[in-house]
Amino acid sequence: MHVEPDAIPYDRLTGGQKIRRFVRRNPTMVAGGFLLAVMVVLATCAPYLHTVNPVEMNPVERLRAPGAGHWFGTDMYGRDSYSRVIYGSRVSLLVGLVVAAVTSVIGLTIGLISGFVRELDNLIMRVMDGIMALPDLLLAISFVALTKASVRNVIVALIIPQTPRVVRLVRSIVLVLREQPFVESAMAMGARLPRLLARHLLPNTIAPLVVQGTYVMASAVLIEAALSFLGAGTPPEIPSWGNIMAEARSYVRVAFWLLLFPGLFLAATVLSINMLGDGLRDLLDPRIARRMR
Amino acid sequence: MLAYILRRILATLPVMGIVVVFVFLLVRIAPGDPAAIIAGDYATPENIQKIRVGLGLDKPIHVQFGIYVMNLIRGDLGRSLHSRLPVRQLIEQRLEPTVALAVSTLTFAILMAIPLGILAAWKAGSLIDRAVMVFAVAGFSIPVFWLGFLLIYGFSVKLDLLPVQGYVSFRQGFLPFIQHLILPTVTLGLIYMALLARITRASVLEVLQSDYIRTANAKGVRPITVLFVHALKNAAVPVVTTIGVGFALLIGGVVITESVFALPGLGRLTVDAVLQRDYSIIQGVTLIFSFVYALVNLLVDLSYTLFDPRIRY
Repeated sequence: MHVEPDAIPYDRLTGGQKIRRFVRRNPTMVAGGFLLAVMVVLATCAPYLHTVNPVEMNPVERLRAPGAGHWFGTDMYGRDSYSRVIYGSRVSLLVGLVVAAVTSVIGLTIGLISGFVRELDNLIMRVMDGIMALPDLLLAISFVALTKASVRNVIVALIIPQTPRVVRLVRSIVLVLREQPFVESAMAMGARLPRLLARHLLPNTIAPLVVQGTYVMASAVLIEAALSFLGAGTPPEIPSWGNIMAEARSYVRVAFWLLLFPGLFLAATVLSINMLGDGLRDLLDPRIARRMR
Repeated sequence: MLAYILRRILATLPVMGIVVVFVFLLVRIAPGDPAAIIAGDYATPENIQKIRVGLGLDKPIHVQFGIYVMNLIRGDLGRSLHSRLPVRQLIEQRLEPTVALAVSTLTFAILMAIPLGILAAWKAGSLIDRAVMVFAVAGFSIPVFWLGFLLIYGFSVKLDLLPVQGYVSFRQGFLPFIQHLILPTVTLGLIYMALLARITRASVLEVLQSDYIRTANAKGVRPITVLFVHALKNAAVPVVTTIGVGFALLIGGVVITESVFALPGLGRLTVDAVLQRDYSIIQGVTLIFSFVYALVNLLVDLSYTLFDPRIRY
C-alpha cells in the first residue's frame, strides 16, 4: 500500500525522507545553497584542483584558446586562466562573507539601539538616511579613492553603504516588538536595557537578519567585482574576477574566453547567493509572522 | 496639497545637508595628503606647502567647510586638482551621454518590465510566470560589465550589427546616436528590468486578490482594462518606490556601463577622477548624483498621491 509521502506527519519520517521532503519543498534554496557550497569548495581547495600558480607568466603561451592543457585558455601574459578564475573566487567569497558578517553585526547593534532608545533614534536615522542618499558604487569608489587599493579597504568601502539597510531592517523589527506585551512584562520584572536587548529582542531579529545578510553578500560580491573592474578595487597582483575581466577587456575580439569564464563564475556565485536568500526568506517568513502573533 | 509638497521638500534638506557634510569629510579624512599627491614624488616641502595654501587646505576645518558651502550656494564646485578646470564645466561637458543613457534605460526598463510583471501576475503559476521569475532572479545576479561584454561579443564582434563602443551626439545624426546607444541601454536596462518585473509581479499579484478586481471581472470588464487600469493603479506604489530606490543602482550601473562602452559621460569622469585621486571632481560628481537621487525619490514620494488618493500627509 503506497502512502503519499507528503501525507505522513513529520515525526514518522526517517532522516532520508526528511531531507527529500525539504528538497522537494524548497528547490531554489537547496539549488542555491548547493551551488554556493561548490563555489566555497572551489575557493578553499584551489591548490588541489589541477591549478598552477595564477600569477606565473609564460609569454610563450600567450592567448591560447581553451584546450587540453589550459581549460580556460591563457591570457595576454601567458597566465593560465583557469587557475586565475579559481583563485579569484577566494577574493570574491572572502569579501562577500566578511562584508555580510560585519554589516550584520554593526547594523544589528545600531538598529537595536536606534529602535529602543528614542532619544538617539532620530539622530541615527538621519545619519543613515544621509549615507543611503549616496549611491552605493559612488560611495565605495570615493572611499577607495582616498585610501590605498587593498582588499581590506575594499571591504570597509563596501560595509559603509550596506550598513544603513540592515539598521533600518533591525530598527523596524524593534519598533514593532517593543510594543509587545512580553517586552512590557520583562521591563516590569526589572530587566535592564542590555538584557532586554540581548535576551528578548535579539532572537526575533536573527531570521530577517540572515536573509538580509545573503542579499548584502550578493551585493558585496557584485560591487567588489565592479570596483576591481574599474581599477578601484582589489590590487592587480591579486587575481579577482573583476580584475581579470578588466585586463581582458581589450581582447574582446581575439580572446573572448578571458571575459567569459570569470563573468560566468561571478554570475553563478551571485545567483546562488540570491537563490539561497530567496529560499531562506520564503522559509523563514511565515515563521516570523507566526512568532510575533 | 501644496503644503505637503513643501513639507516633503523641507524634509529632504537635512538629508542633503548630511550628504554635503559627508562628501566634504570624505575627502578630508583621507589618510593621504592631497597636496603631496598633486605635488608628485619629487616635490620639496615648500612646494607641497604652497599647493596646500593654494587649495585652501591650511585653514581650520570649519573655515574650509564654510568656504565650501558658500561656494556651493553660488554654484561653484571647485576646480579639478589635475587640470585646474572648473568642475562645473567638466560636468556640463559630460552630462549629455549620461543623461541620454539614463533616460533611455529607464524608459526601456519601465516599458518592458511593467507589462512583463503584470503578465506574470495574471498568469501566476504558469510557465510564463516561472520564466519571468527566473529571468528576474538571474537578471539581477548578472554583473553589468559581463553582460555588456557578452552583448558586444554577440552583436558587434560576431554579427557586426552594432558599433562596439563610443558615443555619438544626436546632433551629429539620429541614427548613429541610436545605434551607439542600443547596446548600453539594453545592458543596463535588462538588469533594472529584472528588478522591476519582480516587484511589479509581486505587487500586482497581491492586488489581483482584491474584491474590486473580482467585481470588475464579474461586471465583464475586458481583462486588459482590468489589468492596466484597475490593477496597475493600485499596484503602482511599491513599483514606483522601487523605481526610486533602484535609481541608486542605476547610477552605479551607469558608471560601469560608460566604462565598458567608452561613453564619455559623468561615470567615466568619476572613474578617471578616482584613479587620479582628483578629489574635487569626486566631490562634485558625488554631490550631483546624490542631489539627483534625492530629487528622484522626492518625485516618487509626491507621485504616491497620484496613484492612491487616500495617501495624504
